[in-house]
Amino acid sequence: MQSLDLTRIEQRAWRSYHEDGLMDIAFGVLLLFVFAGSAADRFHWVAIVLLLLVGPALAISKRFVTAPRIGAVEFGPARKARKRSVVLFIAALVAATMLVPIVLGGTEWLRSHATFVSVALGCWVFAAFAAIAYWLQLTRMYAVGLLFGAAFTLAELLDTPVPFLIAGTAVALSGVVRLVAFLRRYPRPSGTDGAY
Amino acid sequence: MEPTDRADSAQPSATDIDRLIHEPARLVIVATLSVVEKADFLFLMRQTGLTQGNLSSHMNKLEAAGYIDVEKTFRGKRPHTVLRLTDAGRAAFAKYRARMEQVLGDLSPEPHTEAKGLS
Repeated sequence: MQSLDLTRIEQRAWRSYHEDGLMDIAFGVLLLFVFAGSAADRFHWVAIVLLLLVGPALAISKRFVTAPRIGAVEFGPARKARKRSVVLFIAALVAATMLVPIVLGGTEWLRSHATFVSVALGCWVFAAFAAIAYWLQLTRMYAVGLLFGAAFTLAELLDTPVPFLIAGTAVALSGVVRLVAFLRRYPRPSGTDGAY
Repeated sequence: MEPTDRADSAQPSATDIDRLIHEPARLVIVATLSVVEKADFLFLMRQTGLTQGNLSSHMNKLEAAGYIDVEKTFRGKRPHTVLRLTDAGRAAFAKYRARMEQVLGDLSPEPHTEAKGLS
């Protein structure tokens, strides 16, 4: 018989809903669009539009891939509060990042401290993912954040978008592996099975 | 005569526990529903590992007791059932947990453990 630790039951339910790899694929594709936008000037605006479509695409995929296989669930207020914490933290992070160049002396200062800015950018990106990993209790997001942070830092330092391509491919592929495992573990119920 | 009749009413008794929740499969269902707002039938099947027939049967018993609220709709041509623990269900589960903690907490040490301690 399974453990009756309610915290564990809640975490297991939460994690099972996020083991489909779709979030990883979305983040990987996001980074690949950043690469495409940086690499090809003409593709710049198309990449921005595609970046904005990643979120809705993830929501639609969850509805048509995940929910028919493991069912639908609405989590409690504590889980919703954790989601709010992530949004507030990232909003604060974005606001702080907007203010930093103004406080430190504008774009001139940023250009004269390129190395520091590159590393800070990587740390900023990692902090956003660390917030997701911590509050949403999805530990693999620390690794995704590390890859994202390294990609942004290296792309700035080396002045090439190739790190975006490498990191984006790695994150998206890890998501695909997870998705394949998920689809095998949870086949779509046939007939009336599960459709009570 | 029931053991509860002999027991002091102020003292928790193992026979006072809610048998409807105490059944292992129903306990897992109620425990799972207690940590979410609501979940559909398929999600509960996946989380509890119960078969469709088993879950359906336990769901009916819990619904008849007023512990869960069952909402049946259709998604296209497929039936879709959403379950939610009612306030009465949450209260009963909280009472069950408290009672079980009391009853198990009051258990004396196992006899062989005591014997080891003496020797």
